[in-house]
Amino acid sequence: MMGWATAAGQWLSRQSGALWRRNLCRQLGASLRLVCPLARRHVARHRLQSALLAVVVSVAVAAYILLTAVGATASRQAAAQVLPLGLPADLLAYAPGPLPADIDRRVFRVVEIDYWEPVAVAEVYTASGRYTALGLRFDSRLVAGLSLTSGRWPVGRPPGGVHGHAVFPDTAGGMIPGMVTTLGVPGQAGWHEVRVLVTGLYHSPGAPVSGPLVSLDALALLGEAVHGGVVGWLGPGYTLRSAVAKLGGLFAQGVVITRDTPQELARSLTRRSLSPVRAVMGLVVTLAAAGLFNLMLFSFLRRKRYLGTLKALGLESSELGLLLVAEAGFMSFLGMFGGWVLASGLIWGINRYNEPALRLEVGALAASAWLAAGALVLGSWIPVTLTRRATVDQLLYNRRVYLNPNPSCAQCGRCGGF
Amino acid sequence: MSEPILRCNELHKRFLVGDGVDAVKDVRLLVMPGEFVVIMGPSGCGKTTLLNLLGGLDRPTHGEVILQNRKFSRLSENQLARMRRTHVGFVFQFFNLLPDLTAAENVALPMRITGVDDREVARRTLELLDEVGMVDRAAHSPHELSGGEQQRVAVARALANRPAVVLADEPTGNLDSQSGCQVMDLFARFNSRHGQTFVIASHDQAFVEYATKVVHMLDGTVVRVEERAGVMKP
Repeated sequence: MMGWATAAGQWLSRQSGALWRRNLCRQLGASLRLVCPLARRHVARHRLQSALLAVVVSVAVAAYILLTAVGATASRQAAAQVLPLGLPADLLAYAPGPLPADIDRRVFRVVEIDYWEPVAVAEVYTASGRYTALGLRFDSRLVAGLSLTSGRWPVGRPPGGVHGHAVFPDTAGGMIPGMVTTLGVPGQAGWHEVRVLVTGLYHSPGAPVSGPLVSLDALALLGEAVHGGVVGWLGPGYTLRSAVAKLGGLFAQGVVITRDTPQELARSLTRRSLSPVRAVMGLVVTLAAAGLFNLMLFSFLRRKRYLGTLKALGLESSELGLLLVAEAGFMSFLGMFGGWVLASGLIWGINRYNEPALRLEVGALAASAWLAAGALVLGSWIPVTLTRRATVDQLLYNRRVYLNPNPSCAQCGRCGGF
Repeated sequence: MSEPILRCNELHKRFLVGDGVDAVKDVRLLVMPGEFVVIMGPSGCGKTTLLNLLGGLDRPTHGEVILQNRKFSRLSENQLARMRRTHVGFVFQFFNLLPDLTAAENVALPMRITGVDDREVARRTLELLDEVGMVDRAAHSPHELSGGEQQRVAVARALANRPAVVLADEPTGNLDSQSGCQVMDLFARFNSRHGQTFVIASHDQAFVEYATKVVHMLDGTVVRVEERAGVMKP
């Protein structure tokens, strides 16, 4: 690896056009030629410590790849729920579960695009508290997709009371949030009359929603028990698109119909499913960096005299820093490969017992290289800075080294130094 | 008369520990080419600090060190490092050989740092190891060598780049008397045969026999400089 790095430095030196870049590469190549054999010897001599370093990076990389695979699988599952249609407006129709027997699923399928006019969105609750969402015309006749949750929808008899709520277009005359109206819902045995509560007005398609569409009073009428965790309300800051994604996430078996393109949906859903992965990734990078920091700081403290001797012999501060980075970088590189192997093994093992299968993403492998590099930078920053700042005297005679180069820092000594 | 190879004017070093400690106070020193200077004095009198200042390992609080007409105070840290690698050789009390490298690699290291080509590095390394009598131990790691052997390798390493001056801090302080004598002879031989300039801090009186100049220090100041006739031939 060291030879490769040297060759890469020389190749870069040959290729780069600008003079400063050429000089930089030449210097870097010379420095690498000098420090790489030293780093290689150190790594070989301190196998256990080096192996620990590689293991820390391996675990971080493997954890990242595994989490990414889980996130990507969740994203694929969510995307499979989405049925993109070339609709002229944002219209939500949501079916969270299997249809009841008397509802003709084909109603959903046979809808002609021409008929699909985004006039209203209604969300209807059955007596059992189950949920559906309908695309509706303003005259309350059903023209578009329909589905209901599994549950007890009484054949030929509409459920009593207020069963749901609806959002009407803001052009709808006479409709105000809080009023109760009746919607016609077709079943094989005929139309069901469903009484719904008007809970909000529908804004122009695609426009960001500036405020809650559903009044709190209306929510109170429906009852929190019905609503708890069910509805992806178009609250402040939500666009209709993100509301679709949220609904899709809330109901694993549902179908979301939207005018978004598949690419937009895939992006939105992927972003959503990967957000916890990103959070965990941050944690993993931090842990890996902390591990690297510990080991490198230990290496620095233990080798002060070694580093001081090199500095006394004429190694520049930057070359000493490069030496530490080369040692840790070498093990990070090995750790990254180890992480790939570990992650592949784990995914293979999980796939034997788990459906759907996790996939080893090429993008995740590439990103894990950045993760290893990030951990290396974060973990090595303080030890390398200390090495660069320390004077020969401090290193040779094992005196305390301070991050702050100000001499009065040594006099203060509150932080203790390293 | 030739120019001094190394000189310092009103050299002062104050350590910011507690109320502050003046380790070196207004020291003036001239080192001529080919001289064998021995700095004598009790423990804690500032010998090591003075040597560190002379070698550019540490910076003085005030005063000036001039090595071959170059003022250390005008050099940046990196320039100082480049100066050290080509113009100054160091021998330490605890040898400070790099444990990861063999004896030959330790000797070759300063030449690798200065970018000497591989063939010349190999030739010079062999020559130096031969001069210090360590050719047969070239492939051994430092931990496989005795203290005296390690110090001989350290001497070879200090001389690798043909420095203007070699600074040695208690080079026999960690050796038995026989090994100490061997190392002293080595210094004397390089001084007499190659005209190598040495500045050695030690409280070993035996070094005085080899010295052309003895600098006596006490409490951070030079109390007496004694010029001597010449080096005792090894």
